[in-house]
Amino acid sequence: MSVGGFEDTVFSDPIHWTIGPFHPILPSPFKLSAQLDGEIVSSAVVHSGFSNRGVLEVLRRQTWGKAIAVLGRVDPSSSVFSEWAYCLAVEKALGLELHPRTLGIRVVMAEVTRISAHLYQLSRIAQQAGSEVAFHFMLREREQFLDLMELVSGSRQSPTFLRIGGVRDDVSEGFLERLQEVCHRLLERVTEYNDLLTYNEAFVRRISGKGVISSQLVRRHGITGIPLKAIHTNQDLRWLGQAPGYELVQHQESSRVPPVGVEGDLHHRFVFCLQEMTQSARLLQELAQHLPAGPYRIEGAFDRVPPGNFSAVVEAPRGRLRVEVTSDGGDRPISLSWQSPSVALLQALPEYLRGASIEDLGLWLMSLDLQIGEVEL
Amino acid sequence: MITGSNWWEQLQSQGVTLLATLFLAIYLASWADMKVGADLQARVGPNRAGRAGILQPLANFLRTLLKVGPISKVRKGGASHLWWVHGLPLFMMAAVVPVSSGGPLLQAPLAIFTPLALGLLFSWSGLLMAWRLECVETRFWAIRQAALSLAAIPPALLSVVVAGLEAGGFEWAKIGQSQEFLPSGWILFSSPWAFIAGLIFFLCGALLFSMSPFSGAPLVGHSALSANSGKIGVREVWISAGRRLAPICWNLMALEVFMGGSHLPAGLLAAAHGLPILETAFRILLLLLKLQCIDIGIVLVSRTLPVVRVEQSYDFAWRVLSPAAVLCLMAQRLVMR
Repeated sequence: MSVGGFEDTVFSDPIHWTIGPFHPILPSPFKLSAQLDGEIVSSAVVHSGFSNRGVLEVLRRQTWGKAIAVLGRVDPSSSVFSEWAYCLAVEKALGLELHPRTLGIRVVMAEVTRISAHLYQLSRIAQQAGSEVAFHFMLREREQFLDLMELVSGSRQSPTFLRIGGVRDDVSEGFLERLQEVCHRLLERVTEYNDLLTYNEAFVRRISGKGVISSQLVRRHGITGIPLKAIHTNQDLRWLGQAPGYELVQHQESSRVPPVGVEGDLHHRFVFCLQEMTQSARLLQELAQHLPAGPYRIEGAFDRVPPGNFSAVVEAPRGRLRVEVTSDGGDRPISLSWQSPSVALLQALPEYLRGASIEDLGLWLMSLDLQIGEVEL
Repeated sequence: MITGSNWWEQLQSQGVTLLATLFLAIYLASWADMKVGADLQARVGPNRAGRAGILQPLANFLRTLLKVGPISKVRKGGASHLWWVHGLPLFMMAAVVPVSSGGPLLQAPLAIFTPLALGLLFSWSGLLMAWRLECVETRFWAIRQAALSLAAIPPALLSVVVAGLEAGGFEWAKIGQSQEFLPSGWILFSSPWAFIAGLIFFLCGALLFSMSPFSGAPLVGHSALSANSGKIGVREVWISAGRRLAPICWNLMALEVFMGGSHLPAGLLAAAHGLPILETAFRILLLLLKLQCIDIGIVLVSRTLPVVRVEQSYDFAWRVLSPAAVLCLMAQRLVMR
């Protein structure tokens, strides 16, 4: 006799559980079908395709310069990086050599965005861990960095600030002083995050040894970003000399964070993310003091790009973002290709989630910082 | 004790007083929860409904009532609903018995264990209701609730035994008589064992009613039991009401057992001039004050600490609380000998 379906959940076959495409524990809209063995995910299947917006098609219809306005919609939480990768690819095609001030301003914008994106990710982890105070503290600091974006570009999340051959405007008056102040405050507040979460025994015990992204998994799926850098610290494009502008600041190689539990586990990645954020804050402080003077843009129309395929890679907060543009010599791209870090994460998700308890599923998912917007273009 | 021909009137007046205490405590606790929680998170918190948002719990209650509909609608929930609907008032009644100056259970032997049993019943009635929702999240929640309550009741029971041994009996009257107004006269501070037992009792309440940081995964509260999800929303109101009421009832018990209850100082008793109404009002105010202090402490802890996994909660209960309670009991017996 069935008493409220008791035997269905305890004594019989594994349970099939489907969540999404919209669910609070999902980082982005997708459907997750999991097979549960007790409370443990034994296998998972990801169904995506719920937020296709035809961005690439829209981009193909824009002229080279106007396409930048659409790029902010690819990944709203770190849109500067989409603009940056695209501009770098086009500038490579045009053979432009940028002014030092342009490079400096671009690095500032990128690092402000990186900190904002990391704070957002960490706040979501804190929320999933049930630490409401840490969640609000992180969002409070993130607001300061969004204010900085607004101060320089007039927009908080989609600045549309980069231009082919430069940036839209010079930094506004008082911006650099404010930047120093906000970065200084963030470095002080990191102590609070450490007290509330990083070295909190309850938090460490909860996530240590869980959600491991091993170097095999990284290699198999081509995962970049925090999961890769937490294991192999010398994999940051910024310090490998492949990101223009970072030669303006002192080389800041990430120091290896010794894992408390297993290498590449959730706690290890969390600490590395915090470390990268503080590293960015120090970098910004240095750049605010020594931002090169001079013009911030190469004057010119740049309405036609020589024919050929041109690509550029940037180290975005989630990992390496590669953009490839194809030109036939006309005034707009004939095709664009977007290789975002979230693709690899989405691909690795079923393997990654195997062994997760449903109680920690939200934490495991949020720690990946997966943005479906940059996958479903 | 309620005696004499007018026992029914006495019981009615006491019942009204007790329920007024409880609801006032719940009201203030809700407000403090919102205000202190907001302050911790660098927010202003409720500030629209009344001065400093003091009317916000009332506004929330009215909003919920309007959203969910009349109470008659709740009865459509099925048989498991009845457990919940009746479990809560039963537990509330049992919890407020010791506050009364007289009551049928006040001098009954082993009466201090009654609220524990009803607390367990109440906790399991939530389990049954969650089970009936027939979705994966709620069923897991129900299983966890069962396991948590099983893990929390033994140490709670043992800690009450420690208090009873300290007081010299397991009747509410004995517990009340053995304590005074000042903290030095509380069972909590009578011995190190009693102090640890008191802490264990508070922690067991948090475990039994799934309070943060022992609340487990946020899966259930967020999705399946959302207030916007039709008929499930009605049950969610009961579950959230229970989760608000039950810890306060538990804390009220803890106050009576370990923290001097509503014992007034001699000066205040003299100020009451033998007027029962004034004396009752003083007692209620004292209880509310103590409850608020405890509640603020709970808010500070629960809002700051991350939520632990449910098996960590079991581990904590079985491996830490239960052995600690047994040790307290043994130490108490040794001291008494």
